[in-house]
Amino acid sequence: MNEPISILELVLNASVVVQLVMAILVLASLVSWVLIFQRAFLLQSVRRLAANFEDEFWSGQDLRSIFVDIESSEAEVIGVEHIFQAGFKEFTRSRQQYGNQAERIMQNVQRAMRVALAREEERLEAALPFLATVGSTSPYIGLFGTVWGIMNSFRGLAMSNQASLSVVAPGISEALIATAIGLFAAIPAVIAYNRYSAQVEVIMNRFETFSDEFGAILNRSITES
Amino acid sequence: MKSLILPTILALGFHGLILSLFLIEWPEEVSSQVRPEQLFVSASLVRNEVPERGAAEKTERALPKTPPPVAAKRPEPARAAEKPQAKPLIKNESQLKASTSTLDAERVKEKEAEQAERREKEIAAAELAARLASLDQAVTDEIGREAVTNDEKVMAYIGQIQRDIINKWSRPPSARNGMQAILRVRLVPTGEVVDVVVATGSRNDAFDRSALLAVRRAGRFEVPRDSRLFEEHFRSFTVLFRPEDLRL
Repeated sequence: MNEPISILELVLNASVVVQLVMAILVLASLVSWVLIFQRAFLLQSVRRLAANFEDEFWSGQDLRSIFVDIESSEAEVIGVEHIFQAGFKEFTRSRQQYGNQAERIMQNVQRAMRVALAREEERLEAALPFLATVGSTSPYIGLFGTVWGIMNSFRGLAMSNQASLSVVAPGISEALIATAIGLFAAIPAVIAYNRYSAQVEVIMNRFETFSDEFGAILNRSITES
Repeated sequence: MKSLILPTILALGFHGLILSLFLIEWPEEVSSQVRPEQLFVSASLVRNEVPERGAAEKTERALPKTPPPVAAKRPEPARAAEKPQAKPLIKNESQLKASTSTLDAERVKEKEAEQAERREKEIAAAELAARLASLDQAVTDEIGREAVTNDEKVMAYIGQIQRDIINKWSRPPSARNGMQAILRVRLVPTGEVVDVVVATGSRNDAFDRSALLAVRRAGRFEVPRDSRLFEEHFRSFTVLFRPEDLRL
């Protein structure tokens, strides 16, 4: 009893249920951190691309040349570029089909951009439900492991004839590790979920604004010609 | 898929860092948590006067055993000193016979002394053998060692008794740090408690009763089978009860 108990020993000596709970929580924590990093990179790149594109767009360059640039680039088209691409493609196609019927052309263009917007929203919010789930359930999973471990160690106390703290202490200690891991997984997940959903909202607002502005420009180009 | 590689590496690295921090930091924290547990309670055996005298006797008895070799060596230099003295005596013819007779006498004496020494050694050896035989332990030619191992044995038994008593002792809520009660316990050679009384109370009846109850509940202690050790240390001993881990 005098030798220090290492955390590894505690984990290895835990009952199967507690070990299972710990394994699930560690896995959840790992996956949520992978997603946290992946989201961080994705959101950052989307924002940078949007800023670059809007600079280019408002610089007065010919829209057709921008479109050709995007079409010819081999990288996956994401963010504002995707919306622009969808809108412009639909605009040129409808223009050929309907000529100067501005209302019909604009309807088709707006529908295409709405679809592209939905796709982008889907892409940005892809991992957020998982983070929300980890954030809200992993404390409960950890608590379950702890309650189970404490239950067992108290049962052990009832069986042993000498009722001393040192009989239950290791059991409770190992059981509490489950709650600790649960909180460890949950806290970053909740923070990341809140932060990323706010960021996604800001980015989507920006996209919607852009699509409205782009639609207005296209509409004007029809009526002017 | 490519976009997942870097995040995966980062996440794994992060978890590895946290885990290694835990593994490094953990033992210190635990050792500080465990320490109070050792001081949970202390019920120490206080040896009464009889065992102390016994121990003193034992050391005294052990000590004279080592001198004999030294005592046996001492006469030799004395004899060596005598012989040079005898040589000048031979030159004096008138005292020659007398000197030879004295030499003979000396030789007889020497023989006698040697025999006495041998006998002494034999007696010592016999005594030693008897003692070794009387004690159920491994053959040791050093007498000092024997005493040490006996002491160790006694300490082991005392430790066991302390643990037995501590396990059975449930302190009353009124127990405070600094209280102490000394109990006198009498055993029979099988280890059963035949009598336990409060020698020095703590002026707290509940505390004294809890101590008495602890010894009575233990009922029977592990004692050495060797009757000499039992008589010296375990026939009657006192136990000191003192709570050490309480806040108050």
